[in-house]
Amino acid sequence: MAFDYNTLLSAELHDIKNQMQALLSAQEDLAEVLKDKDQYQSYIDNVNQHSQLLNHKLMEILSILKIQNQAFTPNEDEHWLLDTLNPIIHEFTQLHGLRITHHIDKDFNGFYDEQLLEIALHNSFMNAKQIGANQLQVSVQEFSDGHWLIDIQDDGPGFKDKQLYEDIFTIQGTKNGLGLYLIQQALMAHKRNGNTGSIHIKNNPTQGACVQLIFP
Amino acid sequence: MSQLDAILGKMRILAIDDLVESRSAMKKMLMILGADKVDIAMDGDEASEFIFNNNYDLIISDYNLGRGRDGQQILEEARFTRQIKATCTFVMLTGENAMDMVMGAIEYEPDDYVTKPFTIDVMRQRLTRILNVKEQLRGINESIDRQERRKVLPLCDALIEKQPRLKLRIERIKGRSLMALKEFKEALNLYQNILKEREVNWALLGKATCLFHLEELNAAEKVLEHTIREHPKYVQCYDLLCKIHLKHKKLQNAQNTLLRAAKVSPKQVLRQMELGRIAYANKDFAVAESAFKMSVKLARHSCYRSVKNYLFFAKSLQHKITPQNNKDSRAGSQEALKAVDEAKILYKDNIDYVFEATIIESTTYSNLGKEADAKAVAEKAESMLMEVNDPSGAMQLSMVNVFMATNQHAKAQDLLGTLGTRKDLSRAETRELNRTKSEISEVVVREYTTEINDQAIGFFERGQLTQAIELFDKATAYKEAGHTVVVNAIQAKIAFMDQREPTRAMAKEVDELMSRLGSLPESDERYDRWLQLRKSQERIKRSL
Repeated sequence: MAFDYNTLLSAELHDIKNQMQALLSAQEDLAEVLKDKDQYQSYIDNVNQHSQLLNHKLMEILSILKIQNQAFTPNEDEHWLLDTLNPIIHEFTQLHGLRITHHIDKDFNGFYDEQLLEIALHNSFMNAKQIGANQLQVSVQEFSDGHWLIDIQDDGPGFKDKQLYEDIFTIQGTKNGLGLYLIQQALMAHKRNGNTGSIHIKNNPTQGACVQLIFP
Repeated sequence: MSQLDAILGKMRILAIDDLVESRSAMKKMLMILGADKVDIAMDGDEASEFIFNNNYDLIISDYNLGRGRDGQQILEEARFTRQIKATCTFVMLTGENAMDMVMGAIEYEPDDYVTKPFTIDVMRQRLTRILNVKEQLRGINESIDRQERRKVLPLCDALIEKQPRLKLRIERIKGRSLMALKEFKEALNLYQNILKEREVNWALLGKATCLFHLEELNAAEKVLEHTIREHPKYVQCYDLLCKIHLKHKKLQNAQNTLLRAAKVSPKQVLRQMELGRIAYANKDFAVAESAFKMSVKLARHSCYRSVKNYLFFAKSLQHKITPQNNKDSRAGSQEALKAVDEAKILYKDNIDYVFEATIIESTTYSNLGKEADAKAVAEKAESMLMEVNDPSGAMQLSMVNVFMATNQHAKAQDLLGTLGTRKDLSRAETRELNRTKSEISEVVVREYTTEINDQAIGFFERGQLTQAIELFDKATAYKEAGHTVVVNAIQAKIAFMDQREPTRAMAKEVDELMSRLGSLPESDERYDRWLQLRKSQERIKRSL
């Protein structure tokens, strides 16, 4: 019988996901027990930082597998943007020391594949952090034809010229390249009435980079 | 998040997960978030038990629950049987693979779903949101709980006005209410407007469902095929497509469609039952067998448990049961008998069901070539049929078939006679009746009448004329009864009238039997007796 990688992989990933969930819960228990003991907080934060990253990486693997699957269709549904965004903001504020502000209505909801948007947001924030930004501003714009975008601005050094003129991001190149590639793939999976999602990057006139995640 | 604390603290909560660590982790997580009363269940059966006995405000279930039913089925059953209220919040925890099935559920969608793995942060955020939304929908849901669908519509419109951000969610409820009220044109309108904005999968299915009810089958089929191309795992679409094939009388297409759906989502009982029925009608017994096997297993502890599953499963196994003692046959007969037993125990108070199970049991033995067992069981069925007050044509037909299989053709003939006078047979039953009639062998009936004849002679010789006549009547009721039987019957009746007193009725019976015999040739060994009896007949007639 032919070796069925897909079945095997998804079975393994399912197990890993369950273990990951158990690990996250164990950490939360530990944090709860030790919440009044300040001397342990840095250790807990450290463990959290790594496990969150691991969790994120796992999600990324799942999404990559998902996108590369022939029969892939995104699970677009209505979500509240802040429900998706807040945990990621929380993670980057707490564990990576970024200052993130947003001007998003708490009831703003949109149609997207939540897992893919998490990947896109996570990579956007991670890119900003790695390039040296300290502060991020997130906002949303809605348009009358129904499309909308998430605008992420940072106070880092901005994109290099070469990157700005690239239309399609490839897996080759820098770490940022991979991040942008994933963001792009995540957005392109979103479709509506014949239009497709996209990513737009630019540099701010004064300082920093701006990434726009555009939903059709 | 003190607000969530306060809300959860007042709630009765059920958490369902098959993995022990996940279960206790979930409970702890809920407690940290402020919950106070949390029950935990490990599978569908336990969950059903809890849901039946309690009134939950919030249920959080993993979609994937191992071998038994999945989270979506628990939700469907609980909502279908109204064991949880519309105001109860149901949150599904799901992996990627199940999303289409969960999101697209047109009737019983969860209020929210959270993708695993998630952190407490995510859970806090989601619960706060969904409980808040659910609170805004409370008025609507309470109307639904009171089954006041009419009142739901204006409430929906008013809330959309007030909370435009909840428009889609409310429209989903509104569409469902319109369909429940059978206002399909209006519902279709609603779905089409939603689809103008965006191809939401449940609106596509909603549109197709409306078209189906409005008898626009081709249009409905087109929408479904498009939806399935875009969402190949959206199994509810296959169910509706199957109904369309059935309406077009394309049974094979219907079966194939359901097979595809069952492959994506094998645990849905109603679908497996439907697949089994269609495959059985198509005489595709292998498919029917596996579908009914699955139905039996899945429905065993659910509200969908049905005697039909057990019986059809046992019936669909018959194709592999033969007198050759091979592996398939042994396994098949064991499974069939087990299913029959289980049905008999579960439905012991319903004689119709027990009868049907007994019929299948006898058939199983017949197919195995165990004639004695088959006949013994057939006798049980026979006496049960006599106990039934008003047996259906179908029951009598099954009994006829078992009589035939156990070589009791004369009894079969008897019952066929009764069936022939029934006016309530369906077309299929009449076809079956005619087919069976032609199968009955005249020779076998004659053998039977001879058997009765022998018994009757015994009574006659002991002078018990009444009993003898009764049996001769029974024997001569068959048109196949031989001349000897008829001559004997005449003799018994004449002897009776000679000993007691002649009656017109009995004399008439003798006349009828005589004309049935016609005239016997001199060469016939019964010729002398016949002549003698004709003289007696004349004598009695004169005396009357």
